[in-house]
Amino acid sequence: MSKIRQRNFTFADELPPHADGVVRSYVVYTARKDDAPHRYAGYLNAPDIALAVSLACEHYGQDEACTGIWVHDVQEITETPCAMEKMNPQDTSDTTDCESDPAWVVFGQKRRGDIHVELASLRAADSESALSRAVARHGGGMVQIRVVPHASIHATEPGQLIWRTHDQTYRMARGYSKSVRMKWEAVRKAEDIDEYRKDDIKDHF
Amino acid sequence: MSGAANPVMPIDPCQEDPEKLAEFEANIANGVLIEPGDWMPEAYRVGMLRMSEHHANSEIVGALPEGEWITRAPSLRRKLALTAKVQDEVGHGQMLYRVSQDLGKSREDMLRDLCTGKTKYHNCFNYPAPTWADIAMIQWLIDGAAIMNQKTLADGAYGPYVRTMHRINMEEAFHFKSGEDMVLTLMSGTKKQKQMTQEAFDRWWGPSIMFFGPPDKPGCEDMPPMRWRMKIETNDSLRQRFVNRFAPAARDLGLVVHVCEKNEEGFVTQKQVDELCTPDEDGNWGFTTPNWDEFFKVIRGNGPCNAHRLALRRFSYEQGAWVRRAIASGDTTLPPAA
Amino acid sequence: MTAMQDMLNDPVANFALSIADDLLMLGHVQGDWTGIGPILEEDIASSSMSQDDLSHALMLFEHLGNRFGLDADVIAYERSPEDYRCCDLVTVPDEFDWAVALTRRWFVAHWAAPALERLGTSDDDELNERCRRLRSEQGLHLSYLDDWMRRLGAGEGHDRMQAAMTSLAPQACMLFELPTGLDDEDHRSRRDEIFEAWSRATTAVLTDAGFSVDLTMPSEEHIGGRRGAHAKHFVEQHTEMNEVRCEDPGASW
Repeated sequence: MSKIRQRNFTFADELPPHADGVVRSYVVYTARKDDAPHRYAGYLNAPDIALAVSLACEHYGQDEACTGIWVHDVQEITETPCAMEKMNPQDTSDTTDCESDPAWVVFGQKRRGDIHVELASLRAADSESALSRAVARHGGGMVQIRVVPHASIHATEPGQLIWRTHDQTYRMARGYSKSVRMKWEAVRKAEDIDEYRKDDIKDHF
Repeated sequence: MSGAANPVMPIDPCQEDPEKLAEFEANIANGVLIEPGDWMPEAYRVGMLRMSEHHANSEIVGALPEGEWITRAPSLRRKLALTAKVQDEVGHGQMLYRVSQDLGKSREDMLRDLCTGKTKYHNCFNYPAPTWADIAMIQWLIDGAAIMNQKTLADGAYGPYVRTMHRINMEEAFHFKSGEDMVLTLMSGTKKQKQMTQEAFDRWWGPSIMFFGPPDKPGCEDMPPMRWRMKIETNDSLRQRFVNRFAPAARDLGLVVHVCEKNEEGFVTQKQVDELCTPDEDGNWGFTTPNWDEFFKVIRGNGPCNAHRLALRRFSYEQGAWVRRAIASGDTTLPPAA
Repeated sequence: MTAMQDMLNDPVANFALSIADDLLMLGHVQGDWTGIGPILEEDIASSSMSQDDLSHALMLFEHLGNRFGLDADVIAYERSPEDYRCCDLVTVPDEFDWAVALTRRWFVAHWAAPALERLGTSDDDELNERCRRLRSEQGLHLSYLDDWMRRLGAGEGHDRMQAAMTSLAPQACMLFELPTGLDDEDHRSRRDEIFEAWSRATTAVLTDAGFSVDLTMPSEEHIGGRRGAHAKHFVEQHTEMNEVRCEDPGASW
């Protein structure tokens, strides 16, 4: 084992003081392929959005094939309360977008507990009208609608390398399935292997 | 990779607005998931915060025993896999701290409370991992136990925790499979490898069956943690399912389940074959009740590795403070901190 | 002659090994940081890069393995220390000082990128293709690491980073020692080109960030890791890397 990990540490009685300064929270969405919607991946903390994007690439961008990442400050969100039932908006007052208004990205949550997924974008003068327009147009079948100013979302460049091209089966369950099965077959009956595998988790990533 | 703690309910739910509480409980009973903007009893908020914090702490400390072996992994593929696995633990910790952060406690405070021992992490990380076979056993047994537990937690009621659990579970599939592959490789290997694996199995079987926590108290299904779907299945039922799955698998691999006594350092000093390992008419495998005195002793901080794990965590916290200060300030003209 | 000796006598293989061994040992020592880094998010990012480095080393070992009939793990683990071509910068003990770890990685990444470009102009298309892929992924490390260097140029970070750079600079220059068997005019001039690219790129970032370091080509008399004269810390890391394998030599793990 490395020497440091074996070291006997001695510490002062008290921890050093809290680190001062701002650390912001960012929301991260990933797209699995070009033109696929961006789906909520997770949060991260970072001092600014530029670093947040690179950190997001090296974490959420490596979990599964990923062609694009969006990041925005958590404070940029305007959203409806999360409804108990799916929404069924009957608003007919919706007007056409004015090209001079700022752009907003609309995210929706289909069921409680689900992740938020990119639905569309629209233009509106402010967050309130963006949200009501988003609900009118895209709220059907959703329990929550969220709008985020387009300008506040930092995205990776189109075509940017995020997901690595080298063999990554070492970090996926399917990289082991065959070898595990073969080795089990040497010592167990097939039905015992199947029974035992029932409590596995499906190989997602 | 860890299971969550038994949630501690710090506040008496009787103090809540009875109407709101009734609606909340009715929603949960109907399978409705709770989202952050919803009204929730204070006891639920604090309970979920602590549960998620304990889970996050476990991931962060769980990275330490396996991290010791990255430099020694015996092939490039194993080295890559172990690095990725420990990285996943850190990622899980980060995501779970975020759930707690939204419930009202900053990450900095959580890391500090972990360093000073004010908050706990999963007991099983207070045991030593002295050989490569221990790494195989941790990934097979402990991750196997964690998967069983986390699959049930993904059916819980708190939306942000459930979302995180789904994401974590996707990665656990790799951890478990890679551990299984290591155990199978070792047990189809040389005599020395098999012996090493049996010894590691003896060290980890006990902590694995203790993994699900102490025996349930009568009536626990009606108490808030389960009534509010913070916890889905009882400790004892998860434990039985674990034994039913792993005892026959171990036997088929040529491993023997032992009841062990350990010394202060966590090494086995005496062992005897656990005679109870045959299934009853319900298909349940019998097993010797773990030594719960040992469990509570370790939880109180007196396990073989408690001090070492916390010291390394604190070293990491203190050693990295300047980096956090340097980038968090956003003010490049700050003078060096005293 | 054994396959291993054939490989070690081959000039292109020696150049490939100098890169592969650097990335292998860098991934190895950086891997030890997994779970201990200063910030959770950075810990994760850093681990992704360690995995890249190890994967890239593996891809080069696999190429050499195919060419010389050797197992990639045997090349990675089982050479005697003097047959490794890495620069000893990569195994410099960091004592978990993040400034040293970051600086070490940054110097190596800036060498690996142009070195891979160079290696990718060989007569072997398969090797060239591998180098092209590796180069683009090492490029991700460059922009990530350059960003960190610029962020740490002022305030408290500055002094720690400057100290790390000053102490590592002489060893960093040993990245440009010509490996065994490459001591000819052609390789020397190629090496000089890579040095040019390296010092230009690193100096640009250093200037931006407000650091100053003296980077000069080492003299030919200074024999180091690339010619097999390794420091004690390399040998210790090599021993640690082999600890499990040595417990039962020949076993499958």
